[in-house]
Amino acid sequence: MSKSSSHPARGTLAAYEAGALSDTQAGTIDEHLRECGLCRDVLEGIRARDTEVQALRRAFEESWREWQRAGEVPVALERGAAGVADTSAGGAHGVGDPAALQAVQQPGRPVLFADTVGTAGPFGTLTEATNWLIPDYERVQLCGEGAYGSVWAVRDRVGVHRALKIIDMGRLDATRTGCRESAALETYCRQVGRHPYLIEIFHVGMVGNSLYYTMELADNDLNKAPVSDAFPARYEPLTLATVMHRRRIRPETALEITRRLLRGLIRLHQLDLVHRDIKPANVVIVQRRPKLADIGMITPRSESREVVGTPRYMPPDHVMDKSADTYALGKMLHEMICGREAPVFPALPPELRYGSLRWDLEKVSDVLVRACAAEAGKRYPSAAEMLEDLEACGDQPFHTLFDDAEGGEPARQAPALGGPNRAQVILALLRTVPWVLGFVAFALLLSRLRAWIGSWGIGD
Amino acid sequence: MNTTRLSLLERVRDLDDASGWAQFDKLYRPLLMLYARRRGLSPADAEEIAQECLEVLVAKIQGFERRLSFRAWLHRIVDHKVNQHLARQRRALSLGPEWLEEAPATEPSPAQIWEQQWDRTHLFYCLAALRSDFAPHTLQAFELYVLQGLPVAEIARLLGMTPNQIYVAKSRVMRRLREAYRRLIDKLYGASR
Repeated sequence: MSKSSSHPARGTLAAYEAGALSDTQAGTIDEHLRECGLCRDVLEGIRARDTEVQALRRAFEESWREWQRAGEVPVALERGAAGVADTSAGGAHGVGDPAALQAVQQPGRPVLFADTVGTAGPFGTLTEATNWLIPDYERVQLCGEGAYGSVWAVRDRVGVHRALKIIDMGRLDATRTGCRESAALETYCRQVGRHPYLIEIFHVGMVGNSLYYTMELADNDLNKAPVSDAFPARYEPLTLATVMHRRRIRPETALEITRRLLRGLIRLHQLDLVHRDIKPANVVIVQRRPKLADIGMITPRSESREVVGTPRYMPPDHVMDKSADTYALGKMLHEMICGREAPVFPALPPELRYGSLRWDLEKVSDVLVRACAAEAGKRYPSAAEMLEDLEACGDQPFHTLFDDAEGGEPARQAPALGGPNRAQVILALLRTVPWVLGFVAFALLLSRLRAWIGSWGIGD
Repeated sequence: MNTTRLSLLERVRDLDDASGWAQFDKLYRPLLMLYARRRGLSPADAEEIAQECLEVLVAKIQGFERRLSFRAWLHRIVDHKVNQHLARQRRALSLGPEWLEEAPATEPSPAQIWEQQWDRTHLFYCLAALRSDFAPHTLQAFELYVLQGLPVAEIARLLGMTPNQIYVAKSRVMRRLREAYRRLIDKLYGASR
């Protein structure tokens, strides 16, 4: 088919232009087109008559004109500065003519894919072709991918493992989230500082169109241990969601977790910030301590009107102020104690077996009722009030159990969440005592028996 | 005819699926905003309307009945909000002739605007998602060829590709776009559409 005498039929070319041919057939025409200008002209004609292509072009052109008239690009379609005919992102590839390309594109016009030029070679998928461009961090394992980016376990230059989140700001659909996350990061890093129950951010950077930041790496869900120098062969981040998925959490542990998270939340609320996305999956366990993570939706209280977050943990009135954060914590506490499908909410069911003497679960129930009230006005105005009431439910104040000074290390090792705790180990040891005693008695009896039999003189 | 299978809606109604909700927001917020803008609202007002509609959605999604298609239901909500807003605006502005003149003579009906924005929103949503499926040059070729209508020879010079690579790129992206669009519509509204 490479000879001009064997042109493909018009119908075949049309099918090829429409992408309806098999790979083998398309490959044959590919070869033919290398030499045949005539067929290329036919294809040009097909483009002009292709209603689908023309409709697509019209939709794009009209939308663009609308955006121009409005003086701005609608939020979700916006590319930001990097999306406007920016061929410099990602560096020159040495292919084509980027300068001429830039000249062709009209200034201010949103360009869908222009910024991707030069980041990878032609054809193949992006994931195959893309190099890891983030300096100073070596990627170890992909931990999760969301709608707006991905989270990786990485190793820095001195061998410390971190979690690294990348947000592709160039994606049409991610700009809003990217901007929100960027603003949240700035607020968080500049104002919040270190806190034992808030995730720590170490480094924020930009590469091309991607915003990235590193933070503490969650413990390994598979062995419930912090990640040491050697990265484990199998790793899953340990979060409260993974713990809750497997087992009911004892009320005592659940209350301790909640109190600690409230401590972290108080820091945010004191700064007049709202987290807006508290849920089990966003509580990571780092060095066996629960920490509020995913700071991407943190915002000043005055700007928190937007309904964002996870509906299950949103208050029913969708008032996303500080009381929404305490609502989410209350809801989480209730789920930890009663399970996710509890018939009674927000109170604790009266028939609940109280496995704890340290806590008055009646009072805890009252705290939950207030924390998870349907109307914002009836909920706790902020975390401090909720913690105060929760502390009044136990006979041992929090600070005598753990030195919880902000930024300081706990005086005692916190119970390992999800793993065996000290009480369980002691209980297991106690259970072996009767067996050990029995064995010793039996051995003693046996030796006495042998001595007695020996005294008969049979063995001589 | 009921055209909605409720797959995404069910996920959103579950109130437990953050990714479902994120997808919901990502898809419909721009649609609501574009619609409000086309009906003549300012950017800030359009954003406000989109926000209000989403709040209504959160509140009412559990009571949503399948008698109505989701497209019609959503249109009803946003249309009501926009009309309310315009009525308020008219009262506040004490409508004068100079205001009337600004409106184009052949303004399409709200229903037409809604249909058009609905289709385009879904289309751009799929287009945006293609970014992760192809190498940059493939997408670039597609954009210059289809969306900007440049001659193939010119695209070849700009991108350093042969003409047939451009055709192949365009065909592949178009095919994927078509698939993605069909999949999205099926996933959101069921195969009956």
